[in-house]
Amino acid sequence: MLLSGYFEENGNFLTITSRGTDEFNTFSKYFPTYIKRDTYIDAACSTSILIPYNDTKIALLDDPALKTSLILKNDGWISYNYEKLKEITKAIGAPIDDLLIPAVSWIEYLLKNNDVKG
Amino acid sequence: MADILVEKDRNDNYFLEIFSFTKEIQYVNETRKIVEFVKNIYRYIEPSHFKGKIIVFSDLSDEIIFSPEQKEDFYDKSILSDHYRTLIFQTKPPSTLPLIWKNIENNKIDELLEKEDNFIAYVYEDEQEYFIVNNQKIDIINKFSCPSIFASQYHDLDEALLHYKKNRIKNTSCVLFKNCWGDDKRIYLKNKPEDCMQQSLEKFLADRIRGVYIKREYNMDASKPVDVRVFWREANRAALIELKWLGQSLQSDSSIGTSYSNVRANEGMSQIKEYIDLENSDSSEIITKGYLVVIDCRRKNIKSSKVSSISRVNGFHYAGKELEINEDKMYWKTFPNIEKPYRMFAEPICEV
Repeated sequence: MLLSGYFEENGNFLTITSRGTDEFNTFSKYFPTYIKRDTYIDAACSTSILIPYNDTKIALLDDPALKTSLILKNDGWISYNYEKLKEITKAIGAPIDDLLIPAVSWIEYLLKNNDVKG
Repeated sequence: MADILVEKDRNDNYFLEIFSFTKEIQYVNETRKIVEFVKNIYRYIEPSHFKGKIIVFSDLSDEIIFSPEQKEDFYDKSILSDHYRTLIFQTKPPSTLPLIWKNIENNKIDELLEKEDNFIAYVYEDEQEYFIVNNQKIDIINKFSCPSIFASQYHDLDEALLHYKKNRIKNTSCVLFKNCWGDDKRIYLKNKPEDCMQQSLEKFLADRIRGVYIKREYNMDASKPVDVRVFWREANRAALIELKWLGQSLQSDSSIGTSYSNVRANEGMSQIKEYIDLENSDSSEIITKGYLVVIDCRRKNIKSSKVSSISRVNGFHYAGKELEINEDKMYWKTFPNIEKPYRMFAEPICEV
């Protein structure tokens, strides 16, 4: 991907180039599994538009579930607290088919929860 | 039952509060579009330099006909600058160009913001930002060192420099910075330590900040090249960093060498001013801020003869001593694009 010019390496980050974006937009239309993924990718990317990137990064990297998985070297299975996510989404009153509100509330919840525990 | 954190979520996040207030997903989608739009215009305008009012609004019913004689299609972002009293935008569906109004009178703006139906607007004024949804004000909580959470480039740099000070310089935890010392006890710097200091800062910033190009020894026709230049690829922002060190260095034969004191910081401020003036006249489209980073390695009673150990009293004598910048060099008080200097004290290893 790097050699083909779809991503650029900048320090510790890989950044998608305009060529990479075009490639993704072209091919994602033709693969049915990608169309489904697009909804989730869109929600994830929109979250980083609505919440500052650094806050999102801190929320996810300091998530106790992720930290535990790292300690246990349990890369394939992160025990997300789905019950808590459902509870929050319900409390906020988000529509069942919307992903953005649960995603934003989850990041905010993690930020505050990590603050409390930290 | 939802716990107290959920309630806090809702009150602290403008996005969730907008949903809570309207209970309509349409407003959520519109908020997202407005934020995206705001982020885009902040690629060309730096909020901390903008003294007027910025409004981005959306009319969900598409009925508003606001000041038709002054409206223009907005297609050229290069017209954006901080020389307007007010800038108003109306977002439109993707197939239609957004609209822009420049320098509209305040009474007309107040009238627009009082609309009670199908209306959502982002407002920036006096270094504050908030939403107005159907005449209800919804604050955007900002815990950053910059006035808008949607243009956090200089906040990210500020945060990175503070992290560098605490976690890399204070205890010489940076591998590259370790090479700057002339002895094991961190009493003396080596001969000409500037190069490895620059390398250390360059590497740290490149790893820490997203979406930037870092260039060392950036040449811009000044008396000397700038030590480090940070350039954000996603926006027209740059930072020029002048790096100075204070303390005592050794010569290449390990005898006592050059010494720099507080005067050096004042010289650094003058250099920053020179760079910013040059940069502004050279590339007016790029917004540049100047930063002075002072690595403070001063120790007491080490100049007359070379010592191999230091007491805590002498080693930490300057730890709490702030830089004394002359009144005429305190440019950060008058120039929005010159920052207050960052002093980073590097601790020695003391004997007693």
